[in-house]
Amino acid sequence: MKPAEQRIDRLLDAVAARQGQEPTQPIVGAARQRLVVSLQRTPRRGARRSAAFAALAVACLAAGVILWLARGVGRPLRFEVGGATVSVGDWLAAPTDRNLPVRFSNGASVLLRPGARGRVSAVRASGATVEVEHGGMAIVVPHAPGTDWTFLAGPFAVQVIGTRFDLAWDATTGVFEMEVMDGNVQVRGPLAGSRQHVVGGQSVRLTAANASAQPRAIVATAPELPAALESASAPTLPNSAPIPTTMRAEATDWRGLAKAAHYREAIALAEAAGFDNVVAGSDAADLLLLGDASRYAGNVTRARQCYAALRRSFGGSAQAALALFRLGVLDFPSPNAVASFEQFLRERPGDALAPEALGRILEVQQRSGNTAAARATAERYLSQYPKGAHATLAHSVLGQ
Amino acid sequence: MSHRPAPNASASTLRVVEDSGVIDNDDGELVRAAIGGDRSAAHRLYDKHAPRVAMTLRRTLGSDHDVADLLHDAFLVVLERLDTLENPALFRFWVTRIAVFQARRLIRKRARHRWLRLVSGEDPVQEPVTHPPSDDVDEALRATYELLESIPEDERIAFVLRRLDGMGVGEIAVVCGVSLSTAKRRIGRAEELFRAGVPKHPVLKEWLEGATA
Repeated sequence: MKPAEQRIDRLLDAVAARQGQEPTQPIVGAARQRLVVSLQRTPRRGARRSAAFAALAVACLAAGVILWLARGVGRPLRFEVGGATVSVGDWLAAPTDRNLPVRFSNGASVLLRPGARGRVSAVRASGATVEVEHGGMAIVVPHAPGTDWTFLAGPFAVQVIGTRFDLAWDATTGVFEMEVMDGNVQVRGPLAGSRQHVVGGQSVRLTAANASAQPRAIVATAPELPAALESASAPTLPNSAPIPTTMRAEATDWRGLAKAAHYREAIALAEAAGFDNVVAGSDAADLLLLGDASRYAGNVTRARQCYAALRRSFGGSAQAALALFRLGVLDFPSPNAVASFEQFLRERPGDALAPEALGRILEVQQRSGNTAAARATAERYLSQYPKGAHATLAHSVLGQ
Repeated sequence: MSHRPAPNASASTLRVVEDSGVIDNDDGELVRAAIGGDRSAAHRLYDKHAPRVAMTLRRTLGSDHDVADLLHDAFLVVLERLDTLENPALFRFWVTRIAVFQARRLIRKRARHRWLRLVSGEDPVQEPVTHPPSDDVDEALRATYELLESIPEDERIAFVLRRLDGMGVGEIAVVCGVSLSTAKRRIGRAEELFRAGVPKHPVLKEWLEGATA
């Protein structure tokens, strides 16, 4: 290499090194804070805040209004569940470990929390009626002229124009809870005259006996990034629903389906081929994939079988170590999870999942009241990951 | 560079990237978990990748000005569209590509504004540098970006990603949405322009003459 080229290399190395000296943490932190706010404010995709985009959005809105007027008001909204179209009145059941998103053609969305059941019992051009049989839902209804949405939860009815709120109905205890993030809603209870408005920033907790309880301010909590992410949850169908055509992968083996995130179909194929045989004939990567697909499909037993086989047959591999982490996740928040996470940390101390493993150990110990162990883990966590996702919990455990 | 950053690279480019060992299958796990509603997974994706993306933006732009904005915008797009990512293990490239694309747009915008100011007779606005000039290296940093501004943005970005950010050519191809040969051509062209420009710049000239270590 010529001396001039060497000097240019040295120049560029010096520039790169100087740029690397300055910490990015303040930038990353600032962006993170703004991201939290943005995700809460802009649940729809593609929201941008540049003036040009705002102008475009206004133009599109105007065009949309014209189209809406042109096509008439008699056309009911369409909706889909996890990417599949289902019929009005079909019962929907969210799996116990995952959300189930219901998306409407006007941009509204209803996210059934894990274990929740409900159905869209009516659709109109101006909105829909959603019945909540049991469980929680996160609801986003874009505001538009003439919007009319109703959510029925036991004896309670929520009238919505445009808003974002969480709703929970416990059919066993008869408790109705709601947190309104934006906009305002009207709640009608079973008692005569029990009607009240709840506005953004307020929550209510009602039973049939105290249906007129006054709204209270939502207790501020630390913002979390993925609040809006939940509107983009993976497609998941209720167990009772047929597998829609749109969710069929082109792949014809379980691996292709699993990689395409069609977990239930992947597991169904593996079962058809003889699950035990598939496990016995799989290498480490396939065992991890099959275990993960089982876990995402909600089949914990099969997931454990895969991870155990992976540990047994491919001990010492990276996949076997990851299987430990997955086993810990399956056991979480039971104290049984600690052993798996600890072993994972011994085998993969520098893994990207190591902070999460240690954080989850801390959570288990804190939840189970094992104060001494939790304090020790909190100190260990803060010494290794002072800015980690569990740092706040660790400080809390230490009383800081 | 494509206007729609797509996370799926061509097969040949992807093979090069896979061979480089920078595809992170843990990202696939985190993405799937985040899509499935795991709140901590999205936290981890941000915490894991944001520092690296911020550094890439700093180097692409030459200053910290606007980096937080672009970082915010890139992750906003990514987190809202996670379920469209066909290969979750490519998350890192997806978010980097979106960030670099936005940086490119900003570089173009700045260039247009500079041109308009020159036409209107206004003084061009100096972009702030990462550090106030205080020593030879800071001065060299400022001068390097002065020279880079004279290089077309596609070549400039490829050059910066290669020479300052340390990316492999395969990564650059994926991030810039071009073929391997195009990425190599851009880097080569930028190298030529940069080398030709160094002797003409009063500060960089000293480095070339060996007066500055």
